[in-house]
Amino acid sequence: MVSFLAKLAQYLGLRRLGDKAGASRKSPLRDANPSDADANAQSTISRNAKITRFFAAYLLTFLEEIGILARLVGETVRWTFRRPFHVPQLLEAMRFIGVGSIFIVGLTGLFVGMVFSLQLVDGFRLFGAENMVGGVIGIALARELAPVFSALMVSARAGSAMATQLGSMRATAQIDALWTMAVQPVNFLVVPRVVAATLMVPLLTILFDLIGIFGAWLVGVKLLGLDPGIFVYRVRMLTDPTDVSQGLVKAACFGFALAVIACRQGYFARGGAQGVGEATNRAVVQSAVAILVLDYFISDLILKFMRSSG
Amino acid sequence: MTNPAEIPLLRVRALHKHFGTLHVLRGLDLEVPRGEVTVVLGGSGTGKSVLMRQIASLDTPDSGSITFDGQELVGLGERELLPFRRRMGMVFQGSALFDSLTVLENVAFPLRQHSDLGTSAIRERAMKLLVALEIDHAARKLPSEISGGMQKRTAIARALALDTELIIYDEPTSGLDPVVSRAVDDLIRKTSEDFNVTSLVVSHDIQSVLRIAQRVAYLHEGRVLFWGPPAAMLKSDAPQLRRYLEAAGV
Ligand SMILES: Nc1ncnc2c1ncn2[C@@H]1O[C@H](COP(=O)(O)OP(=O)(O)OP(=O)(O)O)[C@@H](O)[C@H]1O
Ligand SMILES: [Mg+2]
Repeated sequence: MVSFLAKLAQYLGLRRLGDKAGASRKSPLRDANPSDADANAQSTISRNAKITRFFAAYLLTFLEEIGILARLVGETVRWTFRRPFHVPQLLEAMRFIGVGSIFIVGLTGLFVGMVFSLQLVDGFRLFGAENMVGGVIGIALARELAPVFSALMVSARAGSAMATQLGSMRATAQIDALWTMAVQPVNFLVVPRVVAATLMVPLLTILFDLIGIFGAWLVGVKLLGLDPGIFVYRVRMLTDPTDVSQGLVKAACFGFALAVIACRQGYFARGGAQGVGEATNRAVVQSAVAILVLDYFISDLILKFMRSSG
Repeated sequence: MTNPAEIPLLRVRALHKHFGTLHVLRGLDLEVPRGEVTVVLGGSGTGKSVLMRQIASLDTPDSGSITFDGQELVGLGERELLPFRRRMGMVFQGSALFDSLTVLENVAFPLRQHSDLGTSAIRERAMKLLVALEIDHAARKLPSEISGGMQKRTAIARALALDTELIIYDEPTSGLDPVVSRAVDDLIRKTSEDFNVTSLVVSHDIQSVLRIAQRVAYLHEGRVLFWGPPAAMLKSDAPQLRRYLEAAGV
């Protein structure tokens, strides 16, 4: 169990965990651990102490990570509204994140729409409800599938690249060089990427929505013989503009989160080329986890808000 | 003291820096006179790079004072430091050129960020620097396409772009062959004279020191053990310095 958690933690990027656990042996926590006084007493007490220590270290690392992220977010937001504005950097980041992801987001949108159509027609036929498929897919795409998948694809493609770019700039002292040329590096490197991702992921989500519905229509109507008129009617009847806007709000949050996580990993990367590789890896894993966790909590908030206001 | 030309451009007083339990700088004092080439010499791990990072405000010391042109830098905020950063240039050990920009764009970068000049005026100015440093033929190449010596020249040109008064070089000759090393040394000396800049060079290359230094500061255990002209250093009888000089074969 513990070793599984250790592996999981390592996978989530909490690599300093080992060092932290080691360091805490010299801390007061050590006093709670009698194992060196009596090496034979591998009792439950010492095991519990170990587990406690493990979780204490886990918690510390986690809190430290949150602190670093919060500071970077604070600085990013501050510099977003402060001169100088690095417009060329912003445009380039928008091109890289937005235009560069069109193909891959379109392709995944197409296949997600297609496979959902395939599965739902098959399932709904049991109840003779296959004509509802268009509407259900429309809602699912607008609220969940499009924002989540678009963000995951952008993270895999652009998030990883951002972490690598900033990481190698850190490793080769280019970030220090920016400082010495009186250019604030968070403003120059992080702000454009975070702003661009926050703007572009919603746009890609709209693309995903449209191509996803097209994919669903293709499989449902052209392949499985659903009535084309009813399919389109159901999409328009059941899918509400609030479903779409709900998805776009989420997409913006995901874009912000994935860019901040990628930039945090790259900007503070340590340990040369290998460190950059690990940072990139962590950026992708942490972004994916963050997107899915955020998805739940933002959905919860939005639903509560809609219930109370409508 | 009343004559501003007599205040050293850079003055470091009682500088301390710890990393955890490691006490790297232990009350270091240093003066860099205007218009001269001062070399900081010292063995590996004596804190030369750490010292340069404090001077360039890339890191904050635990205590002590660093004054540039009579004004205190320690304790200044990010924005208050900006005007001083423009007056200092730094040539990093690995050159730290922006790898997505060409040689010309690298040199034009600080101008584009900080001057009101138009695109063509910036180009012209950057090109002039490239000509002065004899790398104008590589203007359109990317840093990855040129040699280490040429990268160093580009980094020097970039550091000079903003009418710099002080250039800090971190180990400019490490990783270069002896011939190129001596060429870089001559370049530092020539740059210092042609552009009338003060130079602070970190090195553990004794040949460089003898070739370019007007002053040498020998670092030992986080303090300056010797400060003076290179000729006086060779005659010094401080045992730690003697050991270093003998090991270096001088
Ligand atoms: N950010 C840091 N965190 C912890 N220790 C550091 C840090 N930077 C430097 N040190 C330590 O400070 C000491 C001095 O390092 P520094 O890089 O200044 O040496 P140096 O004199 O430049 O050596 P070299 O000639 O090898 O470049 C070393 O022991 C190094 O491990
Ligand atoms: Mg060094």
